[in-house]
Amino acid sequence: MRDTNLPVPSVLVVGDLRQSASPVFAKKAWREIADAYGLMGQEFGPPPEPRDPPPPATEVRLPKDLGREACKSLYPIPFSDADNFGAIRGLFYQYFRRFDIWAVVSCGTAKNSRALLSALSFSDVPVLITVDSTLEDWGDSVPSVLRLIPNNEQQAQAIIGKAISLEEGRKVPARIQLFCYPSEDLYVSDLGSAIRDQADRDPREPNVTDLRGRGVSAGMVICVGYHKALQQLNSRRVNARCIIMSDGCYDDPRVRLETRRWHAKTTKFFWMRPLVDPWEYGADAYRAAVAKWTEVGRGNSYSFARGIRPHQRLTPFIELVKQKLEALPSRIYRFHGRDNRRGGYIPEELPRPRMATGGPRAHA
Amino acid sequence: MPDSSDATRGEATNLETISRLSFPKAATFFNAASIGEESDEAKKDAMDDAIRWESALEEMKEQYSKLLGTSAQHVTVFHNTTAGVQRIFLRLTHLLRGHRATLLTTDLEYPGIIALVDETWHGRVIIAQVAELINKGRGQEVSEQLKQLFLLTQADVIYISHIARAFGFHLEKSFLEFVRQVNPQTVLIVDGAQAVGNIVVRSPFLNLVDFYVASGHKWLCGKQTLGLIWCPPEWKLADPAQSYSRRTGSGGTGVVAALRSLAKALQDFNDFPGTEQDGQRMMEIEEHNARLGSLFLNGLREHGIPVGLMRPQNAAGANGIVSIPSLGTAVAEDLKPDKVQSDHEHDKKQLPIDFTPIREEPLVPEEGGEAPGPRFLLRLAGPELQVERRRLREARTVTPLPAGGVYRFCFHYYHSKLHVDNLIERIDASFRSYWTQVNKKAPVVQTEAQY
Repeated sequence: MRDTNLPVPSVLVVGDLRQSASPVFAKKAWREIADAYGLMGQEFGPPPEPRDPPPPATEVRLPKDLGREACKSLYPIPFSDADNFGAIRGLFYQYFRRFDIWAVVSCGTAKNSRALLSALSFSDVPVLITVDSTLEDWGDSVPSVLRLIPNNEQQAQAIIGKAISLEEGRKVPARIQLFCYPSEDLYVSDLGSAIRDQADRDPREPNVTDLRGRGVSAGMVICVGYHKALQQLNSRRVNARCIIMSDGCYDDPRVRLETRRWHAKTTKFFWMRPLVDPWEYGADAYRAAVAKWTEVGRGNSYSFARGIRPHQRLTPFIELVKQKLEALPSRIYRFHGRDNRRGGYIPEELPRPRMATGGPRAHA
Repeated sequence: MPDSSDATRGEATNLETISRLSFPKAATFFNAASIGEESDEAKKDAMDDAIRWESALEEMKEQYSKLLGTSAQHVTVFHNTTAGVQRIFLRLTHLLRGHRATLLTTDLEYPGIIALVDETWHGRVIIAQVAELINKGRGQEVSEQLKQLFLLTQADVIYISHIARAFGFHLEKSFLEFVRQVNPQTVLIVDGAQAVGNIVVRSPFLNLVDFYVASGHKWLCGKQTLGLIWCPPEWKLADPAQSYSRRTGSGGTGVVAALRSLAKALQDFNDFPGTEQDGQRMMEIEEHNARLGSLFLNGLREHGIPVGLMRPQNAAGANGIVSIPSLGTAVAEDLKPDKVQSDHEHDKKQLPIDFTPIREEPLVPEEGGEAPGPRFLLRLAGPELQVERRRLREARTVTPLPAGGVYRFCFHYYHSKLHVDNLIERIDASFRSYWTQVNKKAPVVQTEAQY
């Protein structure tokens, strides 16, 4: 009889997985990962339901007829970080003490990504970051990390490029106003800085200034933030010819609604569409980890003594995951150090709101 | 109440000494596992200067490998244990080739080892605070906690004591098996300084570890201060710079005398030639030591002395070490050499007790050198795991021991039930006097539940 009490090899999926969660990428990533695990045969039983907060599972066991080394999948564990990650760190560690965690797929906010890296600073467990595009200051003390989503520099480049192209042909030099809200948000401040840096570097020397006050008349506005940033602009009755919104607004129904409520009818809206949906990064991360986990950690320490194998299993593991991602047919991964330099953003114009033609309001 | 099986085990026999050599003092009870007793025969052999160094080394290695049930090729001898451990870390650092591996250890280890690790290890160092768990009477949780910490930290190298010096804590084999199954590449360094000679250490256990560290002058009763490392030859541990490895004329400690002394001492731990079952002799010694430990512990309990929670981990895992909290300064004073007399009929001399309560010691000197990896403390005894990044010299302030420290009593194969009874009587008398003086009344015998 095989020992089924050994820890189950697993992947932890961190993000806001609540049903009510408004950013949907974490939920979509989890669904995709759970489906992928299902297709692999569910060796360790059905995937757990995402809960808030999730109790550590105790019933998960290795298959009786299968040793650890013969397992072909990694058990996905959802971990909802809806609130403050720091406050649930103790619960987070319980999973690491119960399961043999080979990677953390991070689908959380920028703030929680930082807390996650800090919490894991004593471990080599790879953190595969799928949505946080802000992190720059990797220190030596952070664990093994791969960032699958392109960083904000690439988005800033695309935004400035689009803004300048829209201003081309005008007799007045391009004057662009930047609106960042909420300014204390890590994503907002990081992207705002990246846009200013990009403007400074651009040879066409666009004139980018911060938008302040109410009732301002501005030709081109870059709106960095989420749906509430657009609400703010609307409430301040900013008169803009064109508004480019960052990817925080992309595909958000509340943003669509706000454009319909917009006070001026001639304003054009663009939002930055990521080439790859963030949830796809999460699913890719899980699949790559599963594909490679059996290739690491099968030797013994004496082979290390003979210099045959690398000493650590998780450091080579993250390298293998990186190679696997780069070899995917989608060709959306090419890493430079810890950062994916492929992928990017496309500015996409929102369709003009249709005029209301019926209903009590129209009649009124 | 005391465990009945322990009591029965202790009283079923006279528990005479089982050493075949002569230990006239036989007095190393109190906090004495730092240096064991050397027999008359070992002393005599050590003085034989006609023996060549190579022969002495080979003979000693042969005897030691016989005790472990392994090959002499697996044994490397160093001037002392610290030199041996330094060699291990030097070897690992070389093989790591600049990679920063994570090292997991506990706060039960010898402070010198922690200091060594802090100064030499380039990667992360993680110290699990196990002592607090044991202090709180949760010693039975340690093995499971260590398994969980291994998963949590994904450590590449583990340094851990087989029997912890301060508490007599006994590392379970199941922990090593767990590590081997989860990550076969983990490098396991087990410090057996308080284990070899006290309990059976043989190949089923050794096959799970990479390096087994021992000392010739503790429970093996040799002259100071040889360090013995067992490891598979693949690790190439022999150090050309160490004269014990290659050439004669060593200027190191002990030299031929230490080798000869230890070889002679080791003979007494090995079976007589022709004995059917290898290791039978060491099994008897282990049983003897554990029985004396149980006898002592039960004796203290029966006399109503608050032995607290620092009993051996369990009856099956008990060894020759019993640790109890301080009974008060006055009791300790009474155990000092000038006040303690042996009533053993063969020994009317004063007991040379090394009176040093085991206390916290500074774990490390100043942090320095080229940017080492971060150091972390993992506190286990709280409601949930706490991880703190620390300089190690700060670690000692958060490693709690009972006020007054812990007193360690060590029982070896040259002790008998008579020795133990005498010791209990002395402690009892001293404790009653102290208690009555402080509380103005005689102590009341406590039940096990009250401890």
